[in-house]
Amino acid sequence: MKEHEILHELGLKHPTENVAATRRAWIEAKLTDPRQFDEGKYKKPSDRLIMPNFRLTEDEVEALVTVLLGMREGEMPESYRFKTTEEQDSIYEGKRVVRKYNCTGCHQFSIDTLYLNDGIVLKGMVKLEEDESLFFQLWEDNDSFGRKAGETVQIETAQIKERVNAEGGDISSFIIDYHVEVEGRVPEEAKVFTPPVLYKEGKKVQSKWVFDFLEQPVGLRPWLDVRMPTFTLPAEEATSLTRYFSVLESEEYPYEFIKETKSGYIAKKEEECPGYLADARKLFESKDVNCASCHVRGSITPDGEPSEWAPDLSLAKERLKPDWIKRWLLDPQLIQPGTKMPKLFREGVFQDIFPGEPEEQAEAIKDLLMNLPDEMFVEDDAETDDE
Amino acid sequence: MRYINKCFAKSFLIAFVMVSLSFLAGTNNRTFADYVGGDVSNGGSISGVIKMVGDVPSAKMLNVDKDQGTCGHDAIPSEALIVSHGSELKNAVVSITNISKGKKFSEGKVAIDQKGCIFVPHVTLIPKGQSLDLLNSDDIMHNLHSYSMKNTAFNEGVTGGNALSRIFEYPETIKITCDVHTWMTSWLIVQDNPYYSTSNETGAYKIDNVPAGDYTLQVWHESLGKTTKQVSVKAGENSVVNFDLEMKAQGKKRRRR
Repeated sequence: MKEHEILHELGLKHPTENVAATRRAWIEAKLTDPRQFDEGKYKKPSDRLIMPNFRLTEDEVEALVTVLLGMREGEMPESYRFKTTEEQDSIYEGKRVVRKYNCTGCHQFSIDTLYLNDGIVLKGMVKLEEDESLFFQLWEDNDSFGRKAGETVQIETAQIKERVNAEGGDISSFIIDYHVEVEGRVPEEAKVFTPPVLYKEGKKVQSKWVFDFLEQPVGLRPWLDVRMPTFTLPAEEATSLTRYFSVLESEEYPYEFIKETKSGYIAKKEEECPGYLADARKLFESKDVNCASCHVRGSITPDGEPSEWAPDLSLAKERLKPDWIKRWLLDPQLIQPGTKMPKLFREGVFQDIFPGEPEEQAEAIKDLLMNLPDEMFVEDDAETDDE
Repeated sequence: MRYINKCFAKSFLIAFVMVSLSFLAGTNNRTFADYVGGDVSNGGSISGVIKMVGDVPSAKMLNVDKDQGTCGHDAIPSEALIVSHGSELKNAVVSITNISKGKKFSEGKVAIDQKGCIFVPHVTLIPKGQSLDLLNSDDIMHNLHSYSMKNTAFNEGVTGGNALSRIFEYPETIKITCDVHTWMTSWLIVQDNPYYSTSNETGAYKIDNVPAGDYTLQVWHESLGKTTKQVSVKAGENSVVNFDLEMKAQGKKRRRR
């Protein structure tokens, strides 16, 4: 056995070879109890060590030791470096841009999570807190809990092991207060005036549209009193955000094939079911669905105040993902609880207009929106709108 | 089998099974200390008149700017604050908040109708757990949008002549609107005991069959808020409790997450 090995086993220091290990031990000792080196020594008060004891935990000491040992000249060895996947890079970069422009000041990016004692994890939003329980609206189906998205459930506080709050939407409580105090609305109703929640945005919007919108925002929701500013984002940052939304939801980026708008798609549907798009239009325009009663369609606007209009449907094919449109039509409250958009397609309705299941009716409206004929969104001068 | 579309017949069975399953998955609600209803012998009653004090604003008119064929062309007077010349307040809800045993809930259907683009009635009370019918007597589509915190909220389009029904598990005051016709508003109050009453045009209310005892009596009105009074009920006697409500100064409430 070599001399330095013997010394090492005894915890003693070899002048050169054990220096790394001893330095580590010393830093650890210093951080754990900074003034221990004064013990048993006679020193004048002015010479005594003065570093305070921060009462660091073992993990914190370990973390600091790692940082201090890592402070060395030259490059870190490759094996010490944190390696990220391309997806992770996209997410980190996206988060950086979100922080830089304080997107969370207005937009909510995630939802509340409750970890219950019995291992069940609930995703949704806390609606109301009481002394011993809270009311929680599920945003996702929960099989182990036996409840569906959209339902509100009462959870005893004692059952909750951990709660992680949604990020973002900092401005919302002020907007809600305003509409409650000035207009006398109930808080739940006033939520519609808060900036849109961007949770799962990547599932909803087409990435090209997101990019364009970030570069040049357009008004989508006429009822909002706060507006998306132009941030004059450099193209790279707009790209980073666009990619972030897609990667977060494992959606395809940057290109996505949207079959609904391609030649042959509607032709095939028409072949299977002659008059398909015309029937879809009948459903769209029937007095009992009447999408245009609330929605803007290009230059055609609904009756009533602009603040009561709903988003322009002529934008849908450039903006929205077809799968999302269909899910939205089947139950809007599941995607955006509290939205003014009602659920229309229930079992057995509109059979005289478009016979079939709700799935099929929603599919038809989705196909129509992705192929909205010009005359449905450009006002015809000859047409009289009055009934 | 009349829902089958000639083009999609194959998906029918699967969808049907899924819908049935979703009904089975149903509810596993937890209920807390429930009210017990039974026979009340020699109960007393509470009655009174509710008035508004202070300046009474003139009745607001709601602009009808959509579907005028059905809803009419004329502005509709708001029902948010109906006060008689004698300051008597309509549609205030009086209820006992701390009673765990007493008379049975009255039976019979409770319904809210949408007729002429107005909710009828404007204020509805329903025992928790009882089914509420939400009707649409108009010939156009209305949507029923509930803003509740405890009960599962809904927003569903109901076509002319059709109806929805819903059960509310938790006592709560719920606003219901139609977003297609934004002037339409209604209030649903879910009660956990049968001791409640709504004031009529003369501001009068009456709650009967109350077992003798001391209770907290609450009055709620959509525009004037809530207030409570203590009341002692003696067997076979009527206790008179009048309320004076006033418009609260704005800007005092603060809501925090």
